Amino acid sequence: MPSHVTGSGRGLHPTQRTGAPAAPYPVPVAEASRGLPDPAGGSGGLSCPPRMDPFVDTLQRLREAFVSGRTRPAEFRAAQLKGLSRFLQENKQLLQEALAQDLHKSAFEAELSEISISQNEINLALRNLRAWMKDEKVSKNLATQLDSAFIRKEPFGLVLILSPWNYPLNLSLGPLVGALAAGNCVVLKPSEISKSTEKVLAEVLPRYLDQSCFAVVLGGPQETGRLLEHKFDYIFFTGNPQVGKIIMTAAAKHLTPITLELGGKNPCYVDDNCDPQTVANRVAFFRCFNAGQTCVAPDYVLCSPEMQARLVPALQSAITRFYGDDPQSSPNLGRIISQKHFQRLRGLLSFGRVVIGGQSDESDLYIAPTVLVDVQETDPVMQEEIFGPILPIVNVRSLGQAIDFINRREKPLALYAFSNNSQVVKRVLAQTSSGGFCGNDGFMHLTLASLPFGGVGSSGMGNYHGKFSFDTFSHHRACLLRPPGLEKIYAIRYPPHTPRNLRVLLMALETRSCSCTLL
Amino acid sequence: MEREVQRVRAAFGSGRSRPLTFRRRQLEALRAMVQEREKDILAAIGADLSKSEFNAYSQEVISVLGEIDLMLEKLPEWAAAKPAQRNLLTMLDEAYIQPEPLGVVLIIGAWNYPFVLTIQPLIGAIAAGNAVIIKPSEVSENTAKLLAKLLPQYLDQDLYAVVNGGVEETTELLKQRFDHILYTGNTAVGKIVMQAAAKHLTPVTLELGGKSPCFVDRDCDLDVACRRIAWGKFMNCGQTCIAPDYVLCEPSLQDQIVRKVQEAVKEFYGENVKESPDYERIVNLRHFKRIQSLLEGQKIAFGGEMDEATRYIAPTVLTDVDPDTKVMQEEIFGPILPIVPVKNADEAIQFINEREKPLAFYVFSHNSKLIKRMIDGTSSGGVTGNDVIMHFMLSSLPFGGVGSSGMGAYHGKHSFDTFSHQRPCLLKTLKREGANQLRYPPNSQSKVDWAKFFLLKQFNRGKLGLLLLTLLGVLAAVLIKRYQAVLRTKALLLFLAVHRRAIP
Repeated sequence: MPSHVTGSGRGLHPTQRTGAPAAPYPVPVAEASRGLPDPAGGSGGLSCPPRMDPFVDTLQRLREAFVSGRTRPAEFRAAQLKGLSRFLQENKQLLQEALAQDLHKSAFEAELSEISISQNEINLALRNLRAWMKDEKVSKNLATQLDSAFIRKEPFGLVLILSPWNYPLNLSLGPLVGALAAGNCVVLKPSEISKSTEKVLAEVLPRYLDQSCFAVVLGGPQETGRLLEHKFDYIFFTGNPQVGKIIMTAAAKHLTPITLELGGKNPCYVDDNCDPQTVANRVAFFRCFNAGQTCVAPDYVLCSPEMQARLVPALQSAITRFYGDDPQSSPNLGRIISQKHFQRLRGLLSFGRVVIGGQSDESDLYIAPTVLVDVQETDPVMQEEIFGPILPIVNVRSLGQAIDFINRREKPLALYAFSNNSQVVKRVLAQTSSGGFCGNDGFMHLTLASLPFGGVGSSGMGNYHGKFSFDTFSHHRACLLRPPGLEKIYAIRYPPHTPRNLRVLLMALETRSCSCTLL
Repeated sequence: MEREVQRVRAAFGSGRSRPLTFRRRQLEALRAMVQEREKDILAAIGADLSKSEFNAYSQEVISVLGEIDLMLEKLPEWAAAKPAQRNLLTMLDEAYIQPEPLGVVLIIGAWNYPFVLTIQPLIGAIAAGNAVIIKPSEVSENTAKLLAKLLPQYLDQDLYAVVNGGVEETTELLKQRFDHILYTGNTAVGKIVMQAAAKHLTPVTLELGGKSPCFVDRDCDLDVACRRIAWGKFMNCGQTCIAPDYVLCEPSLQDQIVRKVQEAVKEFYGENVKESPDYERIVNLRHFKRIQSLLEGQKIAFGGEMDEATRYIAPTVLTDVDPDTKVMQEEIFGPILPIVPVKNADEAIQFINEREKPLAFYVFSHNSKLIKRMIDGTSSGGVTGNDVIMHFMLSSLPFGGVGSSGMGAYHGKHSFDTFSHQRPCLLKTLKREGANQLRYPPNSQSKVDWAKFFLLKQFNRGKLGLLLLTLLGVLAAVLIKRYQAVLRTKALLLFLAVHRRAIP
């Protein structure tokens, strides 16, 4: 298998990664020239002046393809999904290498959280495509008994997917599956920060899809800004709330509907009534997965001082069991994506008191699994989403206090509560709000495609996964088809109006239609 | 303004609006309001749009009452948690989707149907457990004032507040933070609302407009088609977001359509339309002058009479309309029906697709294949085939736009869902930690394989049951075969025993 992950100046060994920030104009790759715009404008053989918009041709091409109706038939959509499936299966090693280069992701994590989860979405879509595409019949009232009333699922048209760097494969393919299944043409803009995966998506993925209906565009914030000046029929963005606002503002100019998968600080309440080791296993696992760079990771713990005393040694035990005495040498722990984020995380370590970990290595972008105590609510580590393997513990004196603490803050993407007492778990659930909730575990709710995945408030709007993806990328068009005759019956609605007409009309519009089909 | 929103937010924070009994009581109070103050409501709408009581009742009040009844009936079902299908990893857990209120909802109403377009969203927001701020359109002054007076008399005053005012007040209001905004109005202001919402990452439902096309096929019952088009077009003096804006048809049909529409108008409103109590007026002078200017340079087949003093514009039909003229550039929102001749259905589809996606699409034809083809070939918020407007009346259909005609939808359950957060919940126990060893590091290839197995298989209780049954069946068959001889002897003994007993 030819290796495409070359020429980027990075070796495979994590210590050789420089973590340099992405250049504003990434060097275009010759192999991916077909259909790909050249963001640099000048190099790569294209003679367009630097000011000319690099996206116009691509977007035009995709729009024309959509208008031609090519993406509508189920066979076409299924073929695209099968192409995606083949992409995953035939390039598994390539993808694993890219993920390892970008995030020091272990084969296990790559399989679990990137490859299998994407494959699952593809399989689900392929299995259910025709059922999802079917017109959805709706219940009728008396006035519409003889009509055909249904909701048609139609593609929006040209969809833009902006994906982030932390799960660069899964968070690109997940939405892509939904958009393709729904019959749209798609522009994918992967994150420029996860450079190796970006490269695979740009160079290899298009070969498995019909390139008249799909394109990958590259670039940083500036190019994205330029891209957003164009009109899309749907925009799907995964990233942080600040950029989410920028995306929504740009979408407003064209009245483009959007889904925003954002983030926040996901609280993790640990009740006194629980087994500390079990809780510590679960919390440590989900905190340190992908070196903490997960939008639904438990961000901080809320517990009593007594619980804290039992939890901390249990956390240490779990971390040692998972990553050994020297976590830096464990192949199972990821690395921070870039210098910028590394520096940011290192800064957070100087607040509170380090009771576990605290080490860091700049040359390796390594941060040790760390637990902080004696943390103040006003500390930076309690102000921003951590997105790293650092777990602050905040003390609360009661369940009520914990709930108040959570409700004082922005609604998070996920919320966790650990207790042997199911009433406690249910109370946390009932008295808070969050995108999703899991009792007594970490982000397992993600693995169920039957649950919608999305945020609320500043953690996002809209949702996807499974059928929710298909519905997100479809316009639900209300259709009422009436038989041409029966004018005498409908005549009661015409002027000139009389009280008798009104009475009959009232009856006819009654939603509680009789179940007997006497009409 | 800020204080008002804070007050409503604090009321929501108290949790009072969540219990279903509370929501029911509010909806029942709303119904009481509509029934007890019917006369005042009809009078206010009548004053704003010169609308007869009958029209106000049948166009606005009926829908409101129907929606309240539907909510009351379905509330327990819609508010209940919905179990979700589990996989092997979660088969022993509880997994469900719990609808929750969003918080403080802002509803910005429109002036053309000032009552229903403000109250129908309110019903959904209350049913979903939210607190609501209602901002009726200032253009329909009387209804706005009435709502500000009536709602506090019937509904919880801290949870549901009416804020009145013009552009300035609305701009101030939009600076505040809400948990959902539903806006009904025009495209330009829709963009402003969405931009304001973006600052707080507030999700929006925008019910906008556009030019809703109406294709009339050669093969259709022209009498019926024209009557229905006239009904939908001239109701509320054309000021309906889903009115058939313009007609597309073959040139040979134009004259017939003109004649039949004219006949329908006479049938509905009499010889002297101005005297008919069922014919409304244009809402204000600005819109009157706007619509007046659309007639410049047009071939008026019939109608065209205007009276500025009463803001009366006669039902008017234009023929051979040039698509580049003003009347075809903006949503008419008035009693003017342009007919644009096209060669055939394909040209009609092309014409429609060259323009912004409309809120509604209408097609009249006996040929159901043609109807299907036209629906397939176009996009719009909604569709009614062989009639107009009616898809609005069925609340099981989502009512909303697409593209520049809007985003999101409401009515019935769609309202409830729009104003709810569908929260996924997975409840596990702290037991069976041993099973979790599979996922914890240190990792190995076998762990990877197991992970794949669990993730890619879905747990379907039905299928598992079937599998077990099959296995049992197979087991039974095998057992019977092996022990045939033994079973035969035993059966014989049993028979003899019974036989001996039976014979004394």
